Amino acid sequence: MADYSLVPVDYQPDFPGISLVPVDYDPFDAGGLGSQFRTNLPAAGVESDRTRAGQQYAQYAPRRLGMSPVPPVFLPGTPENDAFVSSTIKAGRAVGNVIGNVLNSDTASRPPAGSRPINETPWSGDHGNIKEAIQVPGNGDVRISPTDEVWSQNPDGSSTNHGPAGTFAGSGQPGGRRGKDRDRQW
Amino acid sequence: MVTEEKAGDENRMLRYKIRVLIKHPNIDPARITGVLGLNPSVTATAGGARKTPTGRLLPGVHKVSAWTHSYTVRGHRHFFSRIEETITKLESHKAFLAEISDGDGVIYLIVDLLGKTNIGDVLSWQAMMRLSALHINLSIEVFPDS
Repeated sequence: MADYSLVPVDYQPDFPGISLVPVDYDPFDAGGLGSQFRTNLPAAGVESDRTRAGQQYAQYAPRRLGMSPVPPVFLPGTPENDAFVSSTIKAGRAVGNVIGNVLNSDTASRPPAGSRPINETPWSGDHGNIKEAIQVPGNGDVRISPTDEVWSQNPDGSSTNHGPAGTFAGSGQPGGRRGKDRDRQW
Repeated sequence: MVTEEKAGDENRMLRYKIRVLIKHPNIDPARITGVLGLNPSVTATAGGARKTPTGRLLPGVHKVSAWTHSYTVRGHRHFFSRIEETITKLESHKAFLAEISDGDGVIYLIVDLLGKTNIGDVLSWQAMMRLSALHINLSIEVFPDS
């Protein structure tokens, strides 16, 4: 089996790690290959678009080991292609979310956007207890994220998520603030 | 003139916390407890599971070991006197503290000043020398809303 897939494209996409080689012939008519991909081709009426004027075909040469299955091939604009693209994007987002959650919930370069110094939040009254619980000295920067999670800055400049602020307070609720700023929205 | 009743109220509002915090790349916190003979309020072991105070598991593991001993003092103004008492306790373990410091560990003696009541004290140069000899960093922080 050839170690490449044939993908008709309307433009030259840029995929990292993948070589796309324009060809000046209709590879779907090549002996043997055409039948391989016909199982993925859309119904009558769409098939003729494969050879329409201006259509480019690219030779997709993925780096694969062994005899892994050939990816499906769909024509642009067809429902099958839209479904395939949509599912691929969703899968990519899911992977990204997992990676993002891991990074954001353990160690990240900085707390999430919108995080505030703890003394500017309703958790200010719990500042001392939280600082002891997460074991940081006086110069340690502690922030509360918009989702009420405790973040501290590490000596190397990275930040660590210590979990929900409510778990550091006996009542699970913020200890509040005192003085003129007590009722200020943050 | 300050009445006795008002002075009593202010005394009751005087609060501070003394914390001994030790951080080290990989020491077993139980060893610190055993050597210093002080009960920790919080510990963490490098490579160990991370948990919230309520026991909920957090992603990742502790990057370093950490050990904290703390106690709160009420109605007493001169917080550096408690610092000096703590120095005296730690001086008998000077070799162990040097081992921690030499092993890329950091030792803090922390005063947390709680509340908005006026409080102040003086740390003598002699006490500072004793801290320095033990490679202990002094940390002071105010928590006005606590």
